[in-house]
Amino acid sequence: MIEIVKTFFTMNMETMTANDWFGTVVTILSLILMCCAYFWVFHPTNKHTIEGHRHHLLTHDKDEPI
Amino acid sequence: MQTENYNYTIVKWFSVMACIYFVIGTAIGVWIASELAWPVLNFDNPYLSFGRLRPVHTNTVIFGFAGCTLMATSFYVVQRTTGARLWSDKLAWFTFWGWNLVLLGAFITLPLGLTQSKEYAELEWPIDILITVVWLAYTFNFLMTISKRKQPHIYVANWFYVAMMIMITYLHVINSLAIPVELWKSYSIFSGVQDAMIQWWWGHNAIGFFLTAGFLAIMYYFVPKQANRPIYSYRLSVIHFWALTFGYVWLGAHHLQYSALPDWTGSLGSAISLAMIIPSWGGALNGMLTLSGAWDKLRTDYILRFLIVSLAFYAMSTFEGPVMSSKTVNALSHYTDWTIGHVHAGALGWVAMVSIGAIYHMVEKLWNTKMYSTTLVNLHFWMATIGTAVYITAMWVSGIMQGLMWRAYDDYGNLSYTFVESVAQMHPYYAMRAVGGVIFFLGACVMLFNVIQTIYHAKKALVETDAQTITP
Repeated sequence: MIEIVKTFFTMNMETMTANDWFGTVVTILSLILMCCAYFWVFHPTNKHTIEGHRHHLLTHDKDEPI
Repeated sequence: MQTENYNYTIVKWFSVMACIYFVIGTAIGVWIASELAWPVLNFDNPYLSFGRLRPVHTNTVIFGFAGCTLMATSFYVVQRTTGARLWSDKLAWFTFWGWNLVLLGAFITLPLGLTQSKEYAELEWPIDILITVVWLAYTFNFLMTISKRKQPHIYVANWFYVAMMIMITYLHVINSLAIPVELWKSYSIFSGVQDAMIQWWWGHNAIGFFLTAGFLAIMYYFVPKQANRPIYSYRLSVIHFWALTFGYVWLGAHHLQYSALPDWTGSLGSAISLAMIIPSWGGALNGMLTLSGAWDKLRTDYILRFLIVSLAFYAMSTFEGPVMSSKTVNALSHYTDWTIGHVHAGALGWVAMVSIGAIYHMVEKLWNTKMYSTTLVNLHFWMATIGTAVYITAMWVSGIMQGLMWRAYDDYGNLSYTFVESVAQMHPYYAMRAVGGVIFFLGACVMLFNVIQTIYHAKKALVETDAQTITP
């Protein structure tokens, strides 16, 4: 089983092209940034600030322009 | 209502054009569905053949109806949520006429057989360039309007619109890279499996960003506005946005399972597709739970019904899609009508329903009136719902039957059925699909009539009011 998993995740880095590396780096960076966004959104101290925007449409979007 | 501070004229024009394209697009859809059930309707005329009219149908409903809806709603939403008028009226009108010119080009070139043969990207290179220019003008105008906003916060709907604009620019340009050999003939710069991969990277993200992100923007504005309630959770909307934006771009490979594409690519597309159920359902629930404590509104507000039922179809389609992308199910469903059923659950049930709700909402606001006939809105709701249900049910049964017939073997290892036998078995379901399409199309006609009558009576009332003001 471990061998199968090892085979599945094996990477031959020597054969990776510049495109492959560019894609890998962009993907990992995006993943890290998304994790940061999740952490920020779900952190209890940010709840009030973020949820405060729930009412944006009801308070700021009137039929008359602001 | 003081409307002069915002450019509502452009929103009105896009809204009306959306209704017109809705009728044209669904009419062509009904025609080609009927051709499949009754091939005599081809009339041995190449210009009327299924192969040429099918892209006319898809281009009209996607770029005509959905595109005009997106442009109408985005120009409406960005102005109202930022408190700023559109950055450039001229650029907005350029977008309007340019976009309609693209559609006119599609109506002429596609029946003539001038096509790149790429699904949802059939148009030849001169029109592709026009799309790019118009889309960039649209995007630039939208971003510049945000930049001069009078509100510090950028409401989440605008984030979804911006994601759509950036990704569609990127996807359209890359997928349309081609070497022109004549005015109306070009060849893709990609070939073989790379061409297929790029095509489905575009194909699925046209769904993901044009037909999903853009329409989620519509959902995040119009559901709370029509219900007159705050969105259920703003944090969920932020998570929904980032998860969708990060995840969707990976899915394209699931269209190419069991092909020349490396096996791991299809597996990756499938795995991320299944993971996407979480943000998709999070978003659908966020919209539906906005009605928490006010579900009674659905009894009387027919526009809200369209918006909420669209979310039910969104949740259903975003569950069905990942299931179909898994290799086991895909082995049965690929190349069958099940895919067509799935697409139309999303297109009719989600995209069209949420668009219809948004357009009805805007028509009342833009012309400062109520719909000409609430009964007709209600009638339209039931026609759209029943038409969609009949359509997708027919395609599910037909598709699963096709898949099972194609892979049935007898005891000697021979195919149990010929391909023609499977085609013959499809006939009742193709007829049933055409019936579902007709019901949905008639609903679109009802909508166009109701919208035109609403505008006519609103203008008439305005003239009468003006006359009374002038005459003492």
